[in-house]
Amino acid sequence: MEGARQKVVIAGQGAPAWLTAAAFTRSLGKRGYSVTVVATGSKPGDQPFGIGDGTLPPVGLDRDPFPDEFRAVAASGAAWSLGIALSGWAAPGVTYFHPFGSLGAEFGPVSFQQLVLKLRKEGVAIRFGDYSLAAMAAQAGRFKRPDGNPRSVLSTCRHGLHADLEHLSELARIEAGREGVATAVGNLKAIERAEDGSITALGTDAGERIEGDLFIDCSGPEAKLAGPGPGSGWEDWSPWLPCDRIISASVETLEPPLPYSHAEANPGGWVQYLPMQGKTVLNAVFSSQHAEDEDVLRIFQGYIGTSEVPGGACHPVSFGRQLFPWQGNCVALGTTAAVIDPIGISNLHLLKTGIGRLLTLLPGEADARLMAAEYNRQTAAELCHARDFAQLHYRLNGRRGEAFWDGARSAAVPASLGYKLQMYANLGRVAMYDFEPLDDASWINLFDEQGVQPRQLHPIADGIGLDELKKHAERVRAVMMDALRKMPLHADYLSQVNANYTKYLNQEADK
Amino acid sequence: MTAAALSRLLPPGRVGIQLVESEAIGTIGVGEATVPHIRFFNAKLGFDEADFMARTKATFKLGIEFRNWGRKGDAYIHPFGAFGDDLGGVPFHQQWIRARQAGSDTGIEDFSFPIVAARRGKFSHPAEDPKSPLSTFSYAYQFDATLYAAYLREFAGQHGVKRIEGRVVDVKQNAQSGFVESLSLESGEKLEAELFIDCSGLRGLLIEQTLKTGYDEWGHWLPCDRAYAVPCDTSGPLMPYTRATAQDAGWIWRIPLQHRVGNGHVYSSAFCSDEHAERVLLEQLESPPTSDPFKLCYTTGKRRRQWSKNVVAIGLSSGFLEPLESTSIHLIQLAIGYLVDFFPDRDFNPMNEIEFNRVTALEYERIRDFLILHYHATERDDTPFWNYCRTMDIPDSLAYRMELFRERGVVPHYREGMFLDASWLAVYFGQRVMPLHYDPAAESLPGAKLAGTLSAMREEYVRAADAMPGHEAFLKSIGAMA
Repeated sequence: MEGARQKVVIAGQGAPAWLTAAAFTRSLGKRGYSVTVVATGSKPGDQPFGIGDGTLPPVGLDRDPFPDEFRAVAASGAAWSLGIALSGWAAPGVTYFHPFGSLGAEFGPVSFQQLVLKLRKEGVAIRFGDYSLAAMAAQAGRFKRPDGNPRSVLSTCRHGLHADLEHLSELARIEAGREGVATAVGNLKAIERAEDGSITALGTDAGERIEGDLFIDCSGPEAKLAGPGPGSGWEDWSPWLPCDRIISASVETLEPPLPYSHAEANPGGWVQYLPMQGKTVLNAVFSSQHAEDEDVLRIFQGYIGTSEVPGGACHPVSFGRQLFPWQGNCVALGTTAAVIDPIGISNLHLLKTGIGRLLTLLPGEADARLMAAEYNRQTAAELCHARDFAQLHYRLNGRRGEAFWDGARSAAVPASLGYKLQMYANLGRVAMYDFEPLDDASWINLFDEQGVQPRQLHPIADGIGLDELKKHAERVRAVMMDALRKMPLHADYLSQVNANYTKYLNQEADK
Repeated sequence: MTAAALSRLLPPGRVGIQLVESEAIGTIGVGEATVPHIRFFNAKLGFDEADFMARTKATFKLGIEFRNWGRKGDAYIHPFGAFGDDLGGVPFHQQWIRARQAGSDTGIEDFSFPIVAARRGKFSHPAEDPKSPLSTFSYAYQFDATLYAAYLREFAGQHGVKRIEGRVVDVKQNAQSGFVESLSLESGEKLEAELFIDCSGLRGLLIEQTLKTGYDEWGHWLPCDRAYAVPCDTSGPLMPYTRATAQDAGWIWRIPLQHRVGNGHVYSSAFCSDEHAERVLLEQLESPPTSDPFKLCYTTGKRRRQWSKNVVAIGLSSGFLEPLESTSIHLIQLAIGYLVDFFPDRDFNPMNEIEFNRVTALEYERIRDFLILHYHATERDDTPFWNYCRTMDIPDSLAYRMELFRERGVVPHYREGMFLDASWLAVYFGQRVMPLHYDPAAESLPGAKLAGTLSAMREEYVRAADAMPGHEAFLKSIGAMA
């Protein structure tokens, strides 16, 4: 196939479109491919979670399609994230932490989690977060990127990013432009299709006609190429994820960003606080039946300390997914393919895994139908477990006497989540499947912190002597404490990364 | 294996283990070749490698050589290690397919260090330095299963397992629950227990004869159903790999041990008579047989529930998959691992059984698919057996995988299932399943640069392998062989 030049056309704007365009050129090089972006007319902030969003550590992703982290941090003001502090979920006034990375260390054949259960049985008060380097570092405001050595305790601490999507989009747009990505002058106006339904070209309101072989729809929930969202081929998640409205805002901050996000439950939903350099992005996710926009804006005002809420865009939102995100020669990515309540997995993260998966399965000269089938199979599995993880936060809430939360606690669960719940409640184990988007540590922590006590303690764990166990736990914590002391403060680390980047830019300019 | 592992892993003093064994009942000694996971098993039990190898007459194993599978005259090795590193942001094999399509005649085997070493009869332990080619492989053992059993028996005895010589004549179940309550021995002795592990072999004394859990037969996909096994003396240098040579209606294994060679002919009774199978085996021996051939009949498949009530089937009582990929001992090890994970307490929470059965079924089915691939991915049309295998219907799960590979070299990952990408690649390429297309991102690496990288890699592997000690010399140097 060397010599053939395939035309990729991306419809959309903002972070989804430009991150996709940049990833394509980075992965494919200039040879053999041309990439064109056609705007679909809406403002980036019109997309749900379009102002700021976070990513999580990837699980099973063959290719990281996002811009280099150091560049994202230094050039777009992003900040690192070690996890999520969740307050008011387990019970009003109670906060727990969802750390990225693993928990503790196993003891012979027994998982750390079973050891914790045994210690508790013996009356020792102990939380998983006390044995997670990510949680400990988050609490201490420290961060350091792991050096890649799988034997180092630092490798147990994983991370994501919090990013201002407009800035991240700009970073990707510059990279894509440098690599030869073309941009249409006009906005999408017409879609030309062949008899079999595949797309042949897009027309713009500036009179352009852009032909393509592969079309990627990044237009958001309107799904301008991939078809209408709710309707045929759309799996509606409203029976499981009870919120239907979001308000996003962004406020400037002077303090250095915390290396974790905060998810604070309120009577009608929850608010996400994403700290990044110079600002915090707020996303309120709530049920319009249980809260008014004014209620949410009052929470924002309380946080900001003024009556003015910058941004403050309100959107109705329908959580769900396209059953077939890749159909014919059109692939829906990001919030075009699925919109999820970001309490567990974020929408930006799903965009990232979607781009990575698409690049891994890009057909080239091969039969695209097969690659599409595999793409859709993997995506369906990933989204099923992502949705289950999100719902589990609601299902296990401890807010009694609030209509919204009482309803969420008694809502039905899909069979996949039902089995996971049953397994954990009985054995304290997580049933894991192919293409799970999270490691079992995230599930264990959530089950545990939101109050599920397994019926059976593992007999082997039960048989280990208390002193031996305490010593093991102390050892684990000591190793982590030692690593923690050597970690720089997140703020200092950010300054260092920024300074290095400036130095690098100056060197480049001198060349 | 089960008694030894549980005696080590279960807390001492809280669980008592009794093992009933009859010297009058023979064991099937075919599972002499293993996969690298066995090293973790041995390590967990604290075995010293040299001691274990000397006692079981073990040799090192870098993979399996398959002869005459894709076509008569073909030979390839399924190695314990990956083919190259990611190159230009795509998996190595995508670049290799690209190089082939551009006219290169370089074989995939040149880019697997364990194959390069195995072909030269070399061995040494893997290196930790990620820059060394010696860091790119893993290894297993070939050992005398009877000696390994004795080694384990001794270990188990030292760790408190009570061995009882005798034959089970009666099984008593609880009238309501059906749980097994006790076993009666020929001697009149009665053994009561809470958990029973059925290692009785193909007949499945407890899991089938008592609990009647049923059996899924896979003979239509894996038509071999009998085997003759016979040992002979070693001739020639000690090779660090097992060999599986395809025959007219099955295949012959060759497993080199320190003191002898294990041989066996696995065949399909529908396509080959017992007499013919025995004769073919004896004719191909490299030296006279040292005992009479031993015949085994089996039905390929899996017990419907490998854990039922308070009985867990481990070993051949849980199912039979032919030893083509040396999975028998691995499946035992896997079941022990899952049993430890899901170890019940006296309440026998049913979720233990349900989840154990879910994950072990996945493991079995994925190994099954991998085995079927060996038979189905062939161009052989010289016997009715191969015509059947080549044209038979295969499970949808395998057909789908093969289609993805044929089209663009895609090997989807899975969570359960012991054979990883590299294993699938070895058999696909070794049996002439060539993708039509490759990952378009491969071309981000300029073609000239690719050719240079490939030839440098090839030379480095040969150089590193030539510098390694011979297999036998290495065995002696670590005290594993007298």
